[in-house]
Amino acid sequence: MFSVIKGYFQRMFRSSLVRLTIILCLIFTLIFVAVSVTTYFLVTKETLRQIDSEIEAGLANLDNKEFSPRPDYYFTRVARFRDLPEAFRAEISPRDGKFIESIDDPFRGDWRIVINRTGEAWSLGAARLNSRDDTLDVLMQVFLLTGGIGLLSFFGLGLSAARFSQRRLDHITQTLNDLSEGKLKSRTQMQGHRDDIDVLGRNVDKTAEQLEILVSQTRNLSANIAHDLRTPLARLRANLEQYIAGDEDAFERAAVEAERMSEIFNAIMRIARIEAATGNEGFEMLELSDIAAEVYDVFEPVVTERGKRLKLETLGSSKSLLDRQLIVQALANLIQNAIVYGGDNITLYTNQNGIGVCDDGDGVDPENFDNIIRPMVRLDDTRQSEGAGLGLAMVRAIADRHKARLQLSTNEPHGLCVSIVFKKI
Amino acid sequence: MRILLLEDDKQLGPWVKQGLEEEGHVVDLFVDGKDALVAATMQDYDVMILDRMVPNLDGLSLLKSLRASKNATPVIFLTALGEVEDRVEGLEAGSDDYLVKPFAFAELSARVQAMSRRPRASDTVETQTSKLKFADLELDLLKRVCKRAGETIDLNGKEIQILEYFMRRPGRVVTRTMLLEQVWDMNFDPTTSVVETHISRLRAKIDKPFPKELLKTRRGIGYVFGD
Repeated sequence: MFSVIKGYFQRMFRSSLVRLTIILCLIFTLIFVAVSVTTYFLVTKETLRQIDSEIEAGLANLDNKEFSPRPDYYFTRVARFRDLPEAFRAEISPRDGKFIESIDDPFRGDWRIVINRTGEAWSLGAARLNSRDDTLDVLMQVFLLTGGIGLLSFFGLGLSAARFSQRRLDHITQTLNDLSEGKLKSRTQMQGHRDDIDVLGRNVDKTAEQLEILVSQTRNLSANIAHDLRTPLARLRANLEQYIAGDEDAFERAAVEAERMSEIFNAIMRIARIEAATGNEGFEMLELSDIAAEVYDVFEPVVTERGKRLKLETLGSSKSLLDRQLIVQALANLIQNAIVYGGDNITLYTNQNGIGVCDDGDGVDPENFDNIIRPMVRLDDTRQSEGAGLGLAMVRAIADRHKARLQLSTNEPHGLCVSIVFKKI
Repeated sequence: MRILLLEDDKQLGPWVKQGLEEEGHVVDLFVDGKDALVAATMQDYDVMILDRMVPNLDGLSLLKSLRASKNATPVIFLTALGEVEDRVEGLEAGSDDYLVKPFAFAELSARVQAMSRRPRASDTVETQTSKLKFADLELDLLKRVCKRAGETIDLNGKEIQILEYFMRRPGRVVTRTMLLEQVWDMNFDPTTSVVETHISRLRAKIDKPFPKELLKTRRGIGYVFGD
């Protein structure tokens, strides 16, 4: 039982909002006490000053026959000190000149007295302090009451607000715990309050979503690697077995398969490396049309050799911060794709903000645009052809590396256009 | 040539050693970095082939200590670490070439050849030559004119670059990858037959019209200029 309560308080106290509430309450109390003390002090001083001046006025009017003192005030003039009323005489000692004193007598009440000795005569003015004390009492009661109520409601409201926020934070913590345990579907689903906790929750959701995508991509990738490497591996094995069985030619075929596997693996690793790279190393300011011209020079003979035509179209150009090697590789992959899947005419083009390749082949159904840029996804009717399905995935990785957008569109009247659209600098 | 080979893989090491020996080199194989360092300081080698990850002393540290002691023997790194940064790290440490596993033996062999006949710092005059000549083929790099048997051959910029690369390495095997790296500055495989196409265009100009073929294909390996 005790440990349960202890645990509850420990949990409560761990909450930064509860701590904040407690600290604010302490500060509130301190400020309130300071204000009360100051007020008490000032009010006391001011009322005494008023009473003193009232007594002075009374003393000055002592000879006036018309003068009648206000209630709670008492005035007298005597020839000798011992003629003063005993209540006062017992409390004070005779002195020369004028003096002011307060007498605090619990039985007969508190008094403020002024005694003025002129020659042999003693004149005395006194004021009862009861009414002033009553005022101060009321004042203090008001202070205590408002302060107490204020503090209590402040503390209560603060705690409940803290508990409310804490529940939402706990919910986020729980979601994060679930995520760390591998329940990648769990989300905070925070909304409706439009505050910072909502923002935090939504960001957690966004991160979780990204994480889920990445994990599923990795799973996909490994499954696809297994699939796409298994085929050449099987062929390699078959070739080697044929060689052992006496087929001399099988040996060369085996070497080709090994080479192919090595290529697929390199491509996979290269994509992974490009995706994991950060920073601007290897980047330089380059003119898009220069790169296009360079790529054109390299690939025009290659395309021609395959019985197709490569055209260079410069619709515009701009300077961008690029990794030349990567952009050349991306364009090489796009041209390779166009050679294998496209029609007879391939266009390499640049415009104001991007660079890309178009073909006039059968094109790709826009529904499949998202699919074909994923690693190792090959539309079923292309699975028989050469390649590992890594070309566009690499282009996308390269575009991502440049914080550029990979844009797929249909070439009119038919064919596919793939371009890398750079962000404006 | 005397070659130091540092490779701890029980199959790869002897395979490379045997292959290089068949080509007429003398090969000392080491599986331990420390032993290799001792041997390298005791003996003069023409080329060193170093694996990066070996027991006791890794290839990179070995190379660094060699270069620190003013040993300028050409070094080829042979490694499974293919990241660009690793490549750069190796070259910065003073290696002359870098070959990533898995590799074809022909590739390694060609690179060893290229390495051994690479002009040393002392005889750079030869590389500065602007007029190259082999048999009846002449290439003037300044005037950008190519002639064979007195006939002027019209070559474009890239073709001149390729031909220059070959003419500076007569009789040596040049692989596809070497051409991609050196002539096109591509550290990746463009999957298309870039090299093959450009070579066949070049060949059509410098070899086809003439009786003797200068640029020969070595199947599965690369190309050889001259003989």
